[in-house]
Amino acid sequence: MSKYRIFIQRRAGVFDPELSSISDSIKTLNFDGVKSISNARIFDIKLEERFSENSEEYIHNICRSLLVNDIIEDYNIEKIS
Amino acid sequence: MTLRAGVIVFPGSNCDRDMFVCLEEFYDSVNYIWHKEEFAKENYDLIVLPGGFSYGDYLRTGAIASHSIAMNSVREFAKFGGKILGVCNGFQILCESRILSGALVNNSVNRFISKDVYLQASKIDIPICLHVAHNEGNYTNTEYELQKLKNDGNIILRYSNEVNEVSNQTNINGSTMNIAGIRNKNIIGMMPHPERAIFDYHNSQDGRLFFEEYILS
Repeated sequence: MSKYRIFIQRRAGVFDPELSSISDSIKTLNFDGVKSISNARIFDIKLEERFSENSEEYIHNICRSLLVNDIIEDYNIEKIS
Repeated sequence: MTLRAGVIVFPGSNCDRDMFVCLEEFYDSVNYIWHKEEFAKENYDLIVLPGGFSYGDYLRTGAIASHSIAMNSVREFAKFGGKILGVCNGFQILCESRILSGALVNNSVNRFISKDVYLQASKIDIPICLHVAHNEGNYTNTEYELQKLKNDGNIILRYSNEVNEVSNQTNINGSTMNIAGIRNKNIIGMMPHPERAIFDYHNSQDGRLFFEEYILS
């Protein structure tokens, strides 16, 4: 059985107002040592037993088809098991 | 010739009826198309993707709706040269479907914007006043595609002021180049709602001007 973890992040240069608000809030709390902050959305996908060698390509296809919009997002995948 | 328009209804569309009533002003027949239905491209002169919150805006706005069954027909209709208008969430769906280029992300002001705005329109000499209501109207695209849109004259609406000036001050949501609407041949996507500026009881009737210049001409 294969299990993958997908990390999706906003591309550098695409402004994320949510993250900007969170960053401002951290500063308001006097944590003045934070240089930068980023976040990611994580999906864990467990594949059925029948997948073996080509499972990575299968996950990439899911990402490109739906989970990721490559105009504004970057992603990477990690095999967990 | 009989003019026929169709309005696609996604789960979560909420401007479908407004659009329907508006289109009845200009088209001889208007009907709804449920997102699970395909439609014959020969049967329509215009297909509209209305505003709303299709599929609860889950994942990304318009992302899930872009894979619905009706969108297969919309793609066919686009290839066929049919006229397509996507308003607000409809614009987001067209972008997610890659029928139009670009993406719409959160407003830079980080809140929902609901107000009348002035727009500089490529085919109209005066600014037009339309209503906007969105949380993700911040248009973004690659440098290459932006330049292409500009060079091809496909940026049709830009956030401006009452004297038709476009500046950072008139950019309500952080959109690149103040973009409020773009086109690709017969396909138009826009964040403002022309269907909310048609009748006497609306604040503005400039939606009529928009339809006349961009959809009916």
